[in-house]
Amino acid sequence: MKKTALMLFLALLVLSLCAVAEAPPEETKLEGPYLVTTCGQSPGAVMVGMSAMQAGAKATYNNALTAETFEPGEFKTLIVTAGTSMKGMGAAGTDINAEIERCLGVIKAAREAGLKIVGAHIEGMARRTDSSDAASIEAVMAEADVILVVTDSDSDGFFTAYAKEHEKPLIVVKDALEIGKVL
Amino acid sequence: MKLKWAKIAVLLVMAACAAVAGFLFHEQRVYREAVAASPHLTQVKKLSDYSPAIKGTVNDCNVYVFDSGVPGGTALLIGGTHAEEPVALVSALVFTENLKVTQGRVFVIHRVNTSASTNTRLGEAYPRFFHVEAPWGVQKWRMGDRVANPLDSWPDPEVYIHYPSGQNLAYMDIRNLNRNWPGKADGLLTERTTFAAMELIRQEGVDLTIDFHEAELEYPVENTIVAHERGNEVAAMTSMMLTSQTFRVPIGMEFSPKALHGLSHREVGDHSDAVSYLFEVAEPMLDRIRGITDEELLMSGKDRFVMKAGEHNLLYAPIDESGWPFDLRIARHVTTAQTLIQVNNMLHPDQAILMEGIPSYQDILDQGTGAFLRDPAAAPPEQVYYD
Repeated sequence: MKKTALMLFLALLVLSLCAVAEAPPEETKLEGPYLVTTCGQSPGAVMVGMSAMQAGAKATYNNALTAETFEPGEFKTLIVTAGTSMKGMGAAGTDINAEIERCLGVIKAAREAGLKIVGAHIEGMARRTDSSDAASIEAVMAEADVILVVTDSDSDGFFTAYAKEHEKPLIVVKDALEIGKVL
Repeated sequence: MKLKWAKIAVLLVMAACAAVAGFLFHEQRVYREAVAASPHLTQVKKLSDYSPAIKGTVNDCNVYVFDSGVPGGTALLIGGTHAEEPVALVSALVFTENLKVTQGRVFVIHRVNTSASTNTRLGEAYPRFFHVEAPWGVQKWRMGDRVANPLDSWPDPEVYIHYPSGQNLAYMDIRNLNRNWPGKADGLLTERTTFAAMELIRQEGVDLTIDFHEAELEYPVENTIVAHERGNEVAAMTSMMLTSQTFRVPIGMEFSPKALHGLSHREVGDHSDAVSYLFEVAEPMLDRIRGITDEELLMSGKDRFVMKAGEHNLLYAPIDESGWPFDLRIARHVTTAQTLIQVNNMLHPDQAILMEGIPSYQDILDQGTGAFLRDPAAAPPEQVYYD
């Protein structure tokens, strides 16, 4: 009987230690409601919005958000997805330089309002193909408090190395559908 | 005297070449593609039933109707926009030969630009036909060109001015069906075809359209769903679900550009209540840097020159020794269409369409496309149609 109780105690101890080990560090904890926009008019912000909706988190996406139209309201976190779409920028009548200028303005306004800034890359290697993608990633990640990526986006270790070099916390999720779990 | 006989000999050789070429072109132009439709097909209409603009032309194609009789949504699946993208045709056909609709309605077109399937691309040495092995034998289809046959639509204008936007496009795009939406009743052949298709969409109250395509790996809009803005959320969720749960190579999503006119994903959504989507899947045979252009390449999707380009990061889709085989491309399109309709059911329950009988992604990969094609010779005659 004593032996069984001891085994049970040890099992509980191991489980509780695992739980502590798996708890996300404070710096990578994200708090909603979330405001989401895209730097490059890719569908990333729509995907974050849909993933959040599925997970029951509160998220609002606006791909035309500017510093002038930014209203902090009850938002706690701004998520900016990086990676560009030529079709998307064509649809919005914009280009990568204008997109970066718009997003940097929004980030500045959000930071002043006390929001945490998350730089995200959630559409995989398909949004890491050209100089526009690179410019978008560089601009957004440089301003991010936390970096959020999917496994495919970091398949070459780029974001892991970037986060380490710039000492930024990194959250890696399996794919875009899993984003809701960390929101 | 010798010169005279030499001239006659050259003439005879040329005449023989012309006769052989003429026979081959004629064979491709008149070949009839058999369709052994699902027993649950409710009706076959002609596109001209919706507009006389197309009546009597080669593009007066069949419209396969699956009506459950239960109120719900209506979808239109479009194959054959570009005849040199044969997976678009066969993906639509997999629906026609297997589908049972238990709620809502599904309309299917295999050859929306039949004219394009009756010629070939000059200088590209495309095969004239392609074949799929089935348990009962071999099914054969025409392998055509991107644009309509000049025999059916000629001459081209100096500059093609898209109607109604007024946007200038390249002259040959007047025969490219996916530069001619929403069409024009008194225009040239492809304009009249899309006009009639728009009439179908408007008169039948279609809720969503899916236009199947294939694309070269050098093209940035690859392995993706292009969506009209009213379909962004459905397309995004479809892309995320398939990437997470089904596909080895992710499927992305793109917004339809508002200023690029004539494409189905833009104009169908702008000129009707339907939400328009366009699917792309990787097809190495369409790449400019490919090697020998034969049926083997079309079906295997394996090409060492395209692979070499991939090693130099010149492509927008991955490729390795396994290539992009025909069955994989079919499986992606068929599964994407099913998933998108399921997501649309969730987000718009008033447009629910419930389908049965369509093979899963893994079924197509495991058993091959041929396992889901019916034998026209063995099917009851009333279920056999010709495109």
